Amino acid sequence: MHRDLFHITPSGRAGLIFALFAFLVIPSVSGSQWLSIFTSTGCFTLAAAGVAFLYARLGMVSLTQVGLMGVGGWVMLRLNHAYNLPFEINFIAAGLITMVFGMILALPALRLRGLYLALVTLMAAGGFEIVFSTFQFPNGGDGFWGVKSSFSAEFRRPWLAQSDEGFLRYTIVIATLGFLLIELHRRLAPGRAWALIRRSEAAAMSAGINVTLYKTWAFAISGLVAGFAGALLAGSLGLLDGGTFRASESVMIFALAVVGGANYWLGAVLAAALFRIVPALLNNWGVDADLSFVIFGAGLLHAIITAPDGIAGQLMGLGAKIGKRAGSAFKAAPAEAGLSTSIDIKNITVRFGGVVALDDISAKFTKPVSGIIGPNGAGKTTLMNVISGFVPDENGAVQAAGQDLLALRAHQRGHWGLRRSFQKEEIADDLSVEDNVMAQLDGMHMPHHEKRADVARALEIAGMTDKAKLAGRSLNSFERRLVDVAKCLVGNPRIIMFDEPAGGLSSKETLMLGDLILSIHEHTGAKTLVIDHDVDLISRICEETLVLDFGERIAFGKTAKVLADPKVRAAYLGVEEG
Amino acid sequence: MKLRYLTAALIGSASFAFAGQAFAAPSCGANTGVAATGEPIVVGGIHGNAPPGDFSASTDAAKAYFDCVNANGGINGRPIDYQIENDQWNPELAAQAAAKLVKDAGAVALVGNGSFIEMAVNAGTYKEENIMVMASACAISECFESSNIVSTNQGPLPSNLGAAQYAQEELGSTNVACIGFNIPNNGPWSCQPVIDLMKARGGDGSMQLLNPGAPDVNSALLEAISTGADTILMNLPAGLAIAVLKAAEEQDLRDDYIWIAPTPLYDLSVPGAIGEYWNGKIFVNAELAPFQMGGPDALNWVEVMDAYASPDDPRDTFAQSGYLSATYFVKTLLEMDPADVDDRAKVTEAIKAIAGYTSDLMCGPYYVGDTDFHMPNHAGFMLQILDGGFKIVRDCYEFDSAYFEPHIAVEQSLGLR
Amino acid sequence: MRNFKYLNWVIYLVVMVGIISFLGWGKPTKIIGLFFVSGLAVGSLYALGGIGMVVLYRATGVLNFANGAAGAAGVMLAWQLGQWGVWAPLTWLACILLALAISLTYGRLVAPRLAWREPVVKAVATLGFALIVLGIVSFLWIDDPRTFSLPTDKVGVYILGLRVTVTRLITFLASVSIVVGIYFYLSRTVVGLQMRALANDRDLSALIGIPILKVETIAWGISGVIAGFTGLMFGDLIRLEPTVITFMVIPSVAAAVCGRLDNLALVLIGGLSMGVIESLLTLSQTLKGVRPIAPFVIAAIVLIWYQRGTRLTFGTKD
Repeated sequence: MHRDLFHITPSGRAGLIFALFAFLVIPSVSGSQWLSIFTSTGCFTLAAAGVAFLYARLGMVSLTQVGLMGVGGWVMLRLNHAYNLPFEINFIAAGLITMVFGMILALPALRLRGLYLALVTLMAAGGFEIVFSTFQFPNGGDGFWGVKSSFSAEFRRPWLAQSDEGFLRYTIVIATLGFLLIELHRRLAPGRAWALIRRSEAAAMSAGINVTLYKTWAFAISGLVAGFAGALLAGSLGLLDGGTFRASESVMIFALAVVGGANYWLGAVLAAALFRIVPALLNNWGVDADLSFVIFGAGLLHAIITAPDGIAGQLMGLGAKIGKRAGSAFKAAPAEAGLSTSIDIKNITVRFGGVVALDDISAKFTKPVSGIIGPNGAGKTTLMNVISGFVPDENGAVQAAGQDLLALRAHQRGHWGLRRSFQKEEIADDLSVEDNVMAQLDGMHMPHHEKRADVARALEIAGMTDKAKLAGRSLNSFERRLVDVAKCLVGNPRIIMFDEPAGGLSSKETLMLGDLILSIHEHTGAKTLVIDHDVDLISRICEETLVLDFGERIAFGKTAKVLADPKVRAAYLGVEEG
Repeated sequence: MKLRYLTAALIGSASFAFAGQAFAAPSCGANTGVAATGEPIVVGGIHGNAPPGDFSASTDAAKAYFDCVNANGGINGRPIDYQIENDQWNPELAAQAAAKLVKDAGAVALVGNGSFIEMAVNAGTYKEENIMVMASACAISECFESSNIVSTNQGPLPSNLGAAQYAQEELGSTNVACIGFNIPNNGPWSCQPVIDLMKARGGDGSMQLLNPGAPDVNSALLEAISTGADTILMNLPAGLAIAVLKAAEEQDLRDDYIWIAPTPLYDLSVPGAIGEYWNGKIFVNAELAPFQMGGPDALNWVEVMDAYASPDDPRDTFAQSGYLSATYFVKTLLEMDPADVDDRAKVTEAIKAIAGYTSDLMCGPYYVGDTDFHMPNHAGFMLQILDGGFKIVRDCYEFDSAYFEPHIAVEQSLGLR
Repeated sequence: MRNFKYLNWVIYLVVMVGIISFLGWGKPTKIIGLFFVSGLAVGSLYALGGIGMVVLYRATGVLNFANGAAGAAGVMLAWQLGQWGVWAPLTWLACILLALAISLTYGRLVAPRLAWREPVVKAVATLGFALIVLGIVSFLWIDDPRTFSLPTDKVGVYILGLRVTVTRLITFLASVSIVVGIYFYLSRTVVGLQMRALANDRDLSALIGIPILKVETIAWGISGVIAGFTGLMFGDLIRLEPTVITFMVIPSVAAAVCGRLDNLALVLIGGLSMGVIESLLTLSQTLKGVRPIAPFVIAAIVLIWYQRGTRLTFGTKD
């Protein structure tokens, strides 16, 4: 794990070499104008890295990034002109305060995603634009807003970087550190949590991941780098103007991050280059500013259409593929014995508007593997969602091992030992098999080596040990299912729920999966609930079964007996009563 | 395809047709008639030209004049290499442009600058690098309240004052509502002296600020009306001022108020754009001599433009101002020791020593002085929009405000009063 | 469920009355009336812009930031033709036709190539197109004071002490009639039905044989016509500056957000409310400086309010 943490990928190596080149060569060969252009580019690279990271890792779009830079720059200038503190302290304060703004932006992100989230952030950017254009940036004047009519008071640069050349180097170092900060997060627990959240928040939550925390965290990091970027920009010019931080610029930096390639460090560099170097070149070449709008817009459209992975994706090609490494085998730990819980569902009622989705359902599951069946729309998945905590019920209870699960929050249920799979398996494509499983444990408090052992054991039970290092995207559908099961086995599960686990599998694969599910209790002591249409599977592996129809309990008991019940045959198997 | 330029050129040539001297040779610099061939002297200029506005007229005109000078012996036989940069209203580009001209190209001075943004961003750099900027199209406070920028145009503050003063003296205004931008170094800065002036003269004043991008000018107008004002001062670029006038026309407020404006509304397209409704009802202050005055400099400007500028380049106040800045600059260089014209420090010193150039384009003398503020041009003309054109209703008059006390003190010390 | 719906309206009314009385406290009723009506006038512009975007978004899934630019191009052309002495109604027609052509160009040539991308990327791509159109328009018609007038500017009626021109009334009535018209179009015509199906589930619609290309083209056409009309109104009522008209889309998006990009009636109400609140903020000494912020704050609050019951953001297509 720690070896992985500091492992340098080919792409990363290229990035570090580029940063070194930029640090050593670019400042010494540039004239004043280009020093200023490259410093701007460095600032926007950092900001673009933040917005690209949110998009690539969490699938969330922030159209406020440049507005947040403005916040960082404002704080930087405010502190610089108000107190006689060194650059570094102001810089860190600017980053942290902007981080708080970023976290506030995460509030809507807890409830919104996709276009709506993008629009809320655009509204925030619109707000920032108005505030900046109205109050301007402090330039050494009096009062809170600190604006005076004459030219700006002195700006103190870092003592390491007084000259323009030094300041460009300083910017490059900070930008590189920003990238490393993001990459570090990506490789640790937050990275796995984000990958799961991006895939499915419900899956992440049922894996015990505190979705609120990790989403807020991601926005905080994005805000932090935006704040740093804004503060650096303030340091580059010594002052700022509202014109830099218009809402349309925030949209533009996001667009360019996509065009550059949000998944790659190079993408952020390209985005910033397109944002700052290209307009400067066009201007230098004397292209009419109106026409450079046209060229810029056309280039943007062209790149979005032709380069779905961004320009960086095209450039990097397949070179960044991580080499296969054989996973080290761990011995399976002995199963935890003696965990004998029953799942006691009491009076669960759920209404969606006027529709009763579940009507006073009660059942006490005592067997290691139990089933829930019913026709489409019977309320099976709703029941599972109630137990998981995604759907609130009216006043029922789900008792297990002396705990009312419904009294816990969704991610707390994960910690307690509730696991579930979804109808569609939830494997993050960009994580390895091992990390997909590891992500389930990130929210748990246990020593790292135990986590590793636990993951290895779960993969062994699922028969996926030899594929542990493969990326999620390289698995076939059956393997994805098996990993999905493995994810449910880690972290001392007490109750595991499978929602149509055999969907889309061949009969042979279904048989193997059935055997795997049957072995779970022996290995982990957990009780398993299985929802499926496949009556053969249910009757083979489940000792007892609950039958639902239109939200009502039709039958409950030994599987064979239940399946023979005429009411069940009428409702579910389509056989008329009588 | 630049449609506006064609119409502007047509209007321009029509209004100067009476001069009858369109083909006279322009007079430039040393007037030798021999092209300069020596080592070029680098001079810079920065304008803003991108949506939403074009301030390139001043550098266009300065370039035309420098080209004319280069064709007429240059500066002691050396041509001026005039390098123009566009800040595109982007503060970073503005800083980069200054870095390029001042640090990389080693310009001895900047001439003809026209921008909303550039001066605020670069005023510190200019001071640090000890370079003088003889700007021509300034609109913000930094331009007039810093050590190394001197502008030929007035900017909104004096022009507002001039308009309000005229309205108070001639039109009976007692309470002026100044509608301006909600930008500290533009709107509040230039509206406050008007309020002070009105209060000093026993009247009253107020300011109504609106955001540059705001679609709604009506609420600012309604706000102005609700203060009980009898005069509305539209301290805005022409486009927005016209929007205010349109909103007022909608309310049919024309006859209930006195309508005044600073220089931006002195644009030959304005009378046509606002239409018949406003005929005779709007009074505009002009910071340079109106086109119909036709003094020697005004005519020479037209000739320089005709001979050396593109027919597309606008012939407007900013072009006059750019031309004037360029003539003063050339005059200064020609008066210097020829060995010193490459030395930025010496050029800066010589520009700061300018004490009283005159022109028929400007009411008062042009001077610089070694101060932290420069506003040589604080007298102007008052015009009335009438019959599709502008009628001069008051010739050169000086604006009366406490704001100019330090300037007047400098003028007295230079012996200009 | 139904009670709940009414509750929302009650809350809306209480909040609006609360804000109006808070801002207008101690001011003469006549002044409040003036600003209220003036706000409705601005609000109907926001609403009109928002409606144009929502109509397209519902049918194609594209939030078109280039709507404003298309309108700007149209109204600049209309102005130019007017300068050349072309009969006024022809210039209005030219405006609408140009906006229609611009909209269709994007809809037919560019949008299909992005059909499989997320809505955010599609939206962002339209900004690139907006820059192209704005760049060309600003190149052709450089910065100069201009005005664009309609004959209806000369006629007006007094509402609560404010003179309101017929042009403004047309804007307002057009917003309402577009809302009503689109409602009937969607519910009564075959293409309307197909648009609804498309809005509901694209892939499924393709499977059951809905002619996606045709339906989408019609949607781009309708939105282009609305954009052209909006451009005429903006050019007349805001100002004839391409940049200003182009970037009016940002507050217009705020209005669109109030209707969840879906409900045109809510877009209209949202836009009007924003205009009124923005205008009434003039009465507040502390807030008048930042009054254009009103649409953004309102849209953000409304969007979060809509989602208040949601605990999770389940993956949907957007």
